[in-house]
Amino acid sequence: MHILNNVKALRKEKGLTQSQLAERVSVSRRTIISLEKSNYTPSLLLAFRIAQILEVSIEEAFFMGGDTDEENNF
Amino acid sequence: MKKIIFEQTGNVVTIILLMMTMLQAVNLEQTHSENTLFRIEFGYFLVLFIIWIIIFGLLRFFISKRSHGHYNREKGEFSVEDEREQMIQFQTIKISYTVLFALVIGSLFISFLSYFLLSDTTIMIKLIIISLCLSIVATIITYTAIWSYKYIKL
Repeated sequence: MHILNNVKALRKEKGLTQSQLAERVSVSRRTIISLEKSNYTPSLLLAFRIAQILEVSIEEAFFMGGDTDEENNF
Repeated sequence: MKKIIFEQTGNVVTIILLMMTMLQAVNLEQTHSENTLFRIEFGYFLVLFIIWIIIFGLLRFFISKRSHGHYNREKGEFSVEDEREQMIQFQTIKISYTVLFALVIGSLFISFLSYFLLSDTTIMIKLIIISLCLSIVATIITYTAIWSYKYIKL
């Protein structure tokens, strides 16, 4: 399974830039870009932080979808 | 990505200069015929090596000051900015470890064979130094290439 997200849409709704969101959750802008493209699956802690900043529940921001396995696991 | 390329380029230069310093010391040893118990004489490559270490150290210091926390000179090539880079680093280390392991086994085999194939001990020692240093350089290049690839892909 693959973790997808609505971060891009939710971020735009909040009027935040990728850099601003990155700064607020203490990651690089590159990580936000990668996350919005669903290339990178964030840790639970980062997912919670993003949901908190975007003022939505974690389920609204992140959801399961697709059948492809992500390789970005430890 | 720039920090990794910078750090690893510096590491490659360091290893090559170290290799040249050692090879030159072996060469210089051959020019002396006195039979002393222990003596190592270094050539100008040692001076170049020391100068490079100072320059590289200063560069690392200034770059880490200007990087706003992205690059930690104490962690060097293991500097990570966030969890994504930490994951990239973990995957890169796994591959680099495998490459290093294979290359060291290869170098060990070369060293073992050189004992039987080479009668000249100087050439044998040089071969061992070169094979070990090139193994390290190849591992550094692998680390940089995999890190850069993962950084762009992820």
